[in-house]
Amino acid sequence: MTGRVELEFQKCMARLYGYALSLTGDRELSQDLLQDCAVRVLSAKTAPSEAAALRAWFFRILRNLWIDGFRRSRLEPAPDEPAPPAQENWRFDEQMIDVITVRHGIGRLPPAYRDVIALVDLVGFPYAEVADILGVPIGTVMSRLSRARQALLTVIGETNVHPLRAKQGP
Amino acid sequence: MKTPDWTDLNAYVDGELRPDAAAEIAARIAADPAVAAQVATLARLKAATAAALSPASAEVPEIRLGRGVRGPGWRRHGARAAAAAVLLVVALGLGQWLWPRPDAVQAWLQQATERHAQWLAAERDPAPIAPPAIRPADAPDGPSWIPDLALARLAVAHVAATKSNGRPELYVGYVGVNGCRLGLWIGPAPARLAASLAEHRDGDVTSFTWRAGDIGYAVMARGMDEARLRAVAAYLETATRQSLDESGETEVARRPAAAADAPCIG
Repeated sequence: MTGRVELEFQKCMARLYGYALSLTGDRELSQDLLQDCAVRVLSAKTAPSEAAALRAWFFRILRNLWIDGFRRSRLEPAPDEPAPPAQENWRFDEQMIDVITVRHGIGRLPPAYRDVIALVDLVGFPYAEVADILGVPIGTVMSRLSRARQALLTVIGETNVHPLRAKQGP
Repeated sequence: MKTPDWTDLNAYVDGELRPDAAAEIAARIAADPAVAAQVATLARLKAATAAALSPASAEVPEIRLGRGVRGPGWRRHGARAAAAAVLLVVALGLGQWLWPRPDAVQAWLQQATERHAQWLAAERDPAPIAPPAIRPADAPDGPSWIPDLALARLAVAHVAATKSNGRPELYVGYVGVNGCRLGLWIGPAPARLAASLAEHRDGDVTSFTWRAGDIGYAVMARGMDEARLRAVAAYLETATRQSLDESGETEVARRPAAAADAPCIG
């Protein structure tokens, strides 16, 4: 394994940790997951040569580790494809969308929704990369993501966590 | 012009639509305030989500990606490890041991697992060796091949250098943050020890062995998650080979005898 892989891994560590947090919802588990991912990456005999593929490889390894060990032993994930939330009469108060309310809402989403939201919004992967990492067609990524965001808006709308209003004037 | 569905609006906000489809939605946004409001909400949600999921830089755990303990890192493992390792490697370099019999691999591994069992029995609650107590007296540039497993959240808790029939062997015990214990056995490789990673099971103890040059390695644990143990073993195999490739062991073997006589502390 070359220094190129280590350097790229270092660059991705914050987002990998954020992704781990979104999967596990637990800091201790996320640290373990990141550590195990680093071990797996550095012990691999080969790695993708292209930078984008290398980054996707890191996230795929971390996700597979979560599926293989942490999720099976410690978490009770929701079904992989939860039912879509109702869309009728869609309205939303944008003032409710805030880092605090979103963070609170994401914590209440099923793992499959958190997974796809994190890969798209946190990591910034295009749908095709996400489909590759998740092992599903792009159409599934699109539908799952749209359901996940609507579920998130629903949770935010129902929550009793509210963003503080900024003070107006002195 | 049909109303775009929610999935299309999401793809639009993510920049995932083909140009013609994106242009169609842009026109719809201009003509329909309800669609514009949905897109605005999605854009705001996307930005807030990215911010919400991004950990603070101080929160990201520090992971050292080095492959072995080198330079200052060596000091953390202390004089006992330094002296034991120098002693072992110098002796290995001299090549003064007898080659084991062809069927010696199992006996070699059994010796390693027995040594591991001794440590487990002797130290019910092993603690990492405290750095202040193990500062090396005379190993400023010690050998680099005793692996640092901080990466896997395993800290050195026990180091013992022994000799068997005049052949030096080294046992290193690691302890994890949750109390799991892992043993690493380093000694002259028996003749048929495979160079690649090989898995062995003996009751509830799982071991992985490999060879790097003339030195054999066995890593073992009882009741540890197999995937985790395998990952650690694979990492160690890579690290020890790289150490060999860099001629670390050969170089250390040529160090002055005085270095090998560095006293064990603690």
